[in-house]
Amino acid sequence: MGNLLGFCYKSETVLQKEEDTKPVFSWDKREDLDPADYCFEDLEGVTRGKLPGQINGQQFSIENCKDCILFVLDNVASLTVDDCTNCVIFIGPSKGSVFIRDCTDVKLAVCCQQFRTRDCKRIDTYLHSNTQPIIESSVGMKFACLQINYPLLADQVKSSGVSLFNNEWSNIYDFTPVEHNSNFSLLPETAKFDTYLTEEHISSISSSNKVAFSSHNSLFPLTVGTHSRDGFGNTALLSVFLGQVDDYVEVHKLLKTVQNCECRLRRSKETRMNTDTVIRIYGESERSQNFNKFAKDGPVIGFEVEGDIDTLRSTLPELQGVLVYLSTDKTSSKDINNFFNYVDMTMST
Amino acid sequence: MGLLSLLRKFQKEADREVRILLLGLDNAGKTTILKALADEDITHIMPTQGFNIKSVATTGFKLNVWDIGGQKKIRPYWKNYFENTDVLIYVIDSTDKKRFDETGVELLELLEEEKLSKVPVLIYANKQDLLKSVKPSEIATALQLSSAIRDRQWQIQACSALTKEGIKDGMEWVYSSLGAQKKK
Repeated sequence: MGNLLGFCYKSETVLQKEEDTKPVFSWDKREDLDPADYCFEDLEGVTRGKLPGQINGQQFSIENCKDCILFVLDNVASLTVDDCTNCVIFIGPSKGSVFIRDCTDVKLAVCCQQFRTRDCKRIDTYLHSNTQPIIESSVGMKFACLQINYPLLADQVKSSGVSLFNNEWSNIYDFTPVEHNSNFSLLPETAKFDTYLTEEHISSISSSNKVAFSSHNSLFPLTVGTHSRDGFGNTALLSVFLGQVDDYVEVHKLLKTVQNCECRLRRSKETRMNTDTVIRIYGESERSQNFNKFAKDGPVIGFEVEGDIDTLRSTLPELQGVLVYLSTDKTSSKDINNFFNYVDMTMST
Repeated sequence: MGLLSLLRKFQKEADREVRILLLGLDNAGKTTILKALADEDITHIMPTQGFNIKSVATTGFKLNVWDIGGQKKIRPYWKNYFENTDVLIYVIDSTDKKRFDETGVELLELLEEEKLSKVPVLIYANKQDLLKSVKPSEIATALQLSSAIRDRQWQIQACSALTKEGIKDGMEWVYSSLGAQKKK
C-alpha cells in the first residue's frame, strides 16, 4: 500500500478521497509573480539594483554572476548566492537564512536570521546575523560587523523580524576545521564596506536612496565581538528595558552617548525575561521590581560596554519611556556573566 | 483539527513511544519542523551543529523526534541514530533546485540502510510558501521516488514549517503508517 498512499496516481478511490479532503494551502492562492524579477542571474561586469518595494519580502537568489555590483535595498524571505566570482553584493534584511555556495572573491554585506556558507573561497562578509554563522568547506573567509543605514531600512528590519541587537557576526562555527590554520578570520576594525564602491555605483542604483555604510548613523550597533580588548578601559553591563515602547529611537540615543564618551560595545543581545529571570540576573531589590514591570511588557536589551564607564555613567541621557541599568564596578562581571549566560542558554537551538 | 488534538488522537489509539528520525540536507528546515511539531517559537533558530531532540508527549503516548544536523561533514554520523527508528521524516528544501540531486542521493543511501529497511518514510517538501518552491509532484519525478522507494510505505507532503501548513497533514500520514505497521 506504500506507493498507493505515497504517490497515488494508480488507485481511483484513493484519488477521489484525496480530492475531497485536499486542504487549501496559502501557496495555492499565491499571487502570480515572475520569479525572474526576484533574482540576478548570468550577469557579467554590470551594476544592478532592486529598490525598496520591488522584492517585498520574497525569496531572492543570485546565480552565476561575475565582476558585478549587486544591490537589493529591500527585505527578503531568504537568499542564496551560488557560483559567483568577484562580486560586491548587498542584500537587505533576510527573514530566514542566507546561504552562500561555490563563490570566490565576493564582498558581501548582509543582515539575516542565519548565515551559512559551503565551498567558498575568500569571501569578505560584513555581517549582522541573529544566530551563530557557520561555514563548511570554505577557506579565506573574513568577517566584519555590518554597518549600514538607508531611509527605509528600519521598517524593512522590522517586517523581516531580524533583531537589531542579536548579532553573532564574529562567533563563527567551522564544520570543517583544518589543523594549524583557520579557515576564517576577522577583518580589521577599520575595514569599511564602501571602500569596494564608488559614489557612482550607489547613485546608479538609486539616487533617492541614500545608502551609507558608515558606523556614524548605522542602524545596527557596532560591536567588536571577538576582536582583542587591547586594554580598552573597564567593562560593564548596560541594559535597556523597553517596556511598552515599540521602537528603538531611545536605544539609539543611548548608543550615541556610548560612542561619544569613548566607549564601545563588545556584544549585544535582545531577549524576553520573566520575573524569576529578572531577579536571577539583576538581584532581588526594589529596582528589580521596577524592571519586572517593564520586562512584562517588552524586550530587554543587554550590551557589554567597555571603555570609560565612569564618564558614561555621568552622561547617561534622559530617555523617554524606557528603563536603563548600568552595572557598577562591583557587579559588572557578575551581571555580564548572568545576562549573557542566560541569553546564550535560552537561544541555543 | 489542531496539532494538539491530533496528538490527543495519537494518545487514544497508540499506547507507546515512537521514535522519529528527522533527516535531510543542511538548510532544509529540519529544526524548524521539529519546533513546529513541539509548538515552540521558530523565530530564533540557529544552524544545528549536532542534534536536537524533542519529546512531544501526552499521557500514554510519546513522540521522540530526533533532528540531526545536515551538513555534508556530519552526514556520516546519521547512521548512529538509525537504531529502533519507527518513522523516517526526510526534509527537502523545495526551492533548492541546485541540490535536488544531492538530496536525492542522500535519501537513496538512507533507503539502502539495513537498519532502516521497511521503516515508513514521510518526505516533507518544505518551504512551499516561498516563491521559487517546486511542487511535491515535480520533486517526486525529479528524484524518481516512485521507482526508488520500494518495499515500504512512503508519502510526500507539501509543507511550510514557517506557516505550519501541511505539517499536521504529514503527521496524520505518520499516524496511519504506524497503525498499518502495528497490524502486521
